[in-house]
Amino acid sequence: MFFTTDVLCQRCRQRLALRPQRIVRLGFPVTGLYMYQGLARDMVLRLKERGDEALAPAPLWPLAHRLARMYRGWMIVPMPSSRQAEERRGFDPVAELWAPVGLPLTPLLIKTDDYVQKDQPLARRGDIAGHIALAGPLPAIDRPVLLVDDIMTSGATMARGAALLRDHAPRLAGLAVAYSRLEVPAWWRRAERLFWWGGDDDG
Amino acid sequence: MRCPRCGNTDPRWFYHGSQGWYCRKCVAYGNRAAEPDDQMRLVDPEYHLPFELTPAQKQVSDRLAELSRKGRGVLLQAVCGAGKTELVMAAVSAALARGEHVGFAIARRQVVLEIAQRLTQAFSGLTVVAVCQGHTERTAGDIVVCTTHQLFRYPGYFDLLIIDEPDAFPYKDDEVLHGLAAASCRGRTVYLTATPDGQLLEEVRRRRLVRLYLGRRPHGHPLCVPRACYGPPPWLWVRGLAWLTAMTRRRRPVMVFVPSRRLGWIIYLLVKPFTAACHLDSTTAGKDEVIAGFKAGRWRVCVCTSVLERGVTIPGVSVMVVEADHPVYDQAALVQISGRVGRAASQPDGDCLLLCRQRMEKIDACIADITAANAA
Repeated sequence: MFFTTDVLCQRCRQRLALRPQRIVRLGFPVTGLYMYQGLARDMVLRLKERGDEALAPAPLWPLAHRLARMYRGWMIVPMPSSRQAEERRGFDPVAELWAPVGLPLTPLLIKTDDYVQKDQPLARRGDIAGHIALAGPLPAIDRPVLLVDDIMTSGATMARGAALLRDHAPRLAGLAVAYSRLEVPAWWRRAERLFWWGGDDDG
Repeated sequence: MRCPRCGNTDPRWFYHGSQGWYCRKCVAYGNRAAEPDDQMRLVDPEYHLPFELTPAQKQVSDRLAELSRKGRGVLLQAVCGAGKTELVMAAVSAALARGEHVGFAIARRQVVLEIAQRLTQAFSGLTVVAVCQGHTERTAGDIVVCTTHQLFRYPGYFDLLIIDEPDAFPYKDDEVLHGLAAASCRGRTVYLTATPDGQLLEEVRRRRLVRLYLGRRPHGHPLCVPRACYGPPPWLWVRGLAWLTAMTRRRRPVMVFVPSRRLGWIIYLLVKPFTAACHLDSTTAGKDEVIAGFKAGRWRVCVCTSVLERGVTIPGVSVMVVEADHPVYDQAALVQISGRVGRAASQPDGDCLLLCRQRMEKIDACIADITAANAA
């Protein structure tokens, strides 16, 4: 009762504010868990860009049981990273983030070349569609499919994955560990800035 | 287990990932340590200063060069505006003449660019490279000027490493940055500051560093002693606005230091309808342009956080510190903020007002330090 196995301390867990957001603009239901800013952004970037694998369990740890219950029986498909990035890191960040949930991943998608989404301006991020393909012949899919990604900004990556699998899966959904703050209405973002800044407010 | 990059030995900071053990304390610096050119290159280290050193400055400069030649580490404690950068140039020149690698490490990015420019003007025959956020294409040169974070690129490289303002954030109290600095210097280190912290003074006490002191600015005018105003917030608002009104009527540039971004925005929005004002904090885009505009007189009032407490010279400026008793300000910060006043020889006067809700030891100590420096 008095001890926790959380990988973060209480203060960091509070700062890593879970803010689930339902995103419907892609034509299929996508759930984002953390807004891609502040500590969430720092942690995901540190995991992906600096290779700090110790941070991988942190985002999904408090939701692990709930996600395992919700998606038991689903086929979990991770969005692919470029081969160059995987070789450099030595691990797949999506797989590491998903590990606390305990459900197996089925890698059905690959990146056909070393196209780096984050280096592209927002207007050109739809180009990712030409760089993601099926890893091979699809098996018969008789379960709902959940696409999992670490960061969702424009949604082009997940939309491409959905386009490849939509005709084969009886049901499709998406889960992004971090989502762009632009998914939150502008009026709400302004209200947040006026009444609650949160985090560090020093110079 | 010991991290070869930052020197960390605390086992809690090591994690076994898919590629083996790594140190989480310095993982933010990645694994991309650049390999600088280590070939010794003899250069012509002649330098030219824009002004002549005073006898006191010359004495300190010569002593520093002698200690550097003998391989001793030095703490150069000089009051704000005393010309610390110019004082080390003789030591830099002598080191370069011996074919040694020289580096300047500074806690603040803006100061890196300013000092790199000054060194370029002084050492016109040499290549001075500024390495900081946004300037990382070139990392090798005759003199390297970098932020303390960028020291990870130079393991065991510098024979003479000059650390400017080691008591400033973020270098202060950051063990990783201390480790990077120690790992990057294979010779001696010179620390430049007006407000040495306890750790540096302890190094002096243990004779690991030699302390040199300079208590006067080149123009010889005394330092501006801050005036503290105590009272409840409504009274402080009245005093502050009255002071601000008087300063703007005299057409003097004014810096208003605030302890938080939120308070900064509030004061900026209050002041802006009445006078040309700008706002600057850590999140401001185009900080360099805002500072240049304020120096050029485009704005009369600059409402800023502690980003401008060091390394900035605005001729004729007066400063006011709102909530000087706030925990974000320590004694060193208050001394540094007061040091913005009277730096230029053409306008050595100015005023410094500290608005405080309560009396605190750090404020009394700041005033006492500056008064003692003037009396010395």
